[in-house]
Amino acid sequence: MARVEGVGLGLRAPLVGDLMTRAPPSLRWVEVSPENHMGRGGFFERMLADARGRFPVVTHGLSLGLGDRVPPDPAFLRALRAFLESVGTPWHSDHLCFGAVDGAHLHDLLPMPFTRESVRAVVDRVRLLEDALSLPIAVENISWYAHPGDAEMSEADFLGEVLSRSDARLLLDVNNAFVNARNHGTDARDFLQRIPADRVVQIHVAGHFTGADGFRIDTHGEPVCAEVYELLEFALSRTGRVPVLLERDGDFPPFDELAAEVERLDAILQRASP
Amino acid sequence: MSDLDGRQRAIARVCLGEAPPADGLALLGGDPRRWQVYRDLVRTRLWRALLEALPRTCAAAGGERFGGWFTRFLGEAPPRTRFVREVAPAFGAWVRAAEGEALSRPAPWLPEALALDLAEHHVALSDARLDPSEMAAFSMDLPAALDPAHRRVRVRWAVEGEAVVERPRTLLLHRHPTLGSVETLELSALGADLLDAMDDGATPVTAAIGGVLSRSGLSADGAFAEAFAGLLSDLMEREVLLGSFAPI
Repeated sequence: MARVEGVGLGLRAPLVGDLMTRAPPSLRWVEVSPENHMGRGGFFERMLADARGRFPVVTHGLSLGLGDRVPPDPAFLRALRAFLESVGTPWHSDHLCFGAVDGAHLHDLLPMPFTRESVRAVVDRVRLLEDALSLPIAVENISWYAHPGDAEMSEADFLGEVLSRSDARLLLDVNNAFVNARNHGTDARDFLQRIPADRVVQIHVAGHFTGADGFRIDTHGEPVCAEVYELLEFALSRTGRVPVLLERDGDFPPFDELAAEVERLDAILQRASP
Repeated sequence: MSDLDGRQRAIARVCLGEAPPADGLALLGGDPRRWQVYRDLVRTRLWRALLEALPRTCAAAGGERFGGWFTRFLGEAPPRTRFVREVAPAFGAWVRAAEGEALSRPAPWLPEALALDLAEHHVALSDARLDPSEMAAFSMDLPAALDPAHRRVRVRWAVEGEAVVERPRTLLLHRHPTLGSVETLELSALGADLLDAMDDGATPVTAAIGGVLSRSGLSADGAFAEAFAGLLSDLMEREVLLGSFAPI
């Protein structure tokens, strides 16, 4: 298993040509979503093989549904475990949300209510997944745009409860923390101060869309904004130097612009305590 | 039903239903505009996946009809797969079942537009492959080993400029050996029959050819031999013909 450190970039088809031929010097690893590659031949298979030949790979899931109520499909878990072993990821992350209801997959990150019942559901699921995958599971805080029903605790307390009752690690998405704070009138730094920094194994950074009414949507389709860079620096002051990933999933700019973002992230990361 | 189950089902109904249900929004509480954000996110992602995979189908059906299918599909048979790439085939199967014979009205080419879109989608993504231990170098005396990811589609209609005209032919769709892009080869009627006969994984190539020629009333003369050799060479270059199945 290769050591993962420094700045990484999400492996996406429009980026792979540049990634393989002129990756910025500070780019040290790539993040791969298994659902984009499992059981898929052709271009995606070759893209993954090329990337694995050059970079350490960390996996980031899209569909485990840590808050889903139906048991995970055993066949999928077996295939996922084989995939994770094949790429040598040190952990597997997925989102603190649900995505499927009664067998229907909605293909988005849908919000869990911040309740004790949700905590129990997620903790049970994380334990099951860690057993099935034989790997540490990292949970990622999501951007949420509405809360279903009445909350029994804050988001930070919800996250803290999940982590304290399970062995899960935390994939801290700094952009999501910023988006949530702006959308719900809270303080992102307060959120970052209240989460268990010692459980953070990885950080996500991305851009987001701001509507005319000021409401923000986590799109991964814009440049990282200045406030998120500042928040990253603050987060790293608490976590120490953990791997940081730049997520870009759409409206891809010229590669040089992404490379500059990678370099800027690396400069911030290097200023953090080891 | 627990509170958690109820809330998750309410969100699903808000996102997938023809319109967000009032009782679901009431259960979820808060500003309905924020639940509309989720509805838009879910539907936009799936809509884009379908438009990307089924461009001919959408063009042939028209946006209004295609959009109507989408609305009904989400409401009646939402995706059961965790893989976004599998949503288009599921949608295609639902459209065929829901429309039945009506699918070919008023545009009789709509069913084959859907078939062609789905074939192209399959070829682009399939990880089907042959077991190298079961293969040998190509021999006319052995069954042909064809790339299982390729597809052959018999079509009746062709788009020529702004018009759709009747021009029956068979299209062979395969992946480019190095680029991975989907390439299309138009086969002659005889070439299509020969490939159909060769693609059962069991019949030696000579026997497959003999059967086709016999049914067609043709003979294996020099012109045929030259044309067939050219077809095999082309298919090998395209990595559609991968060799032969080794004798057991």
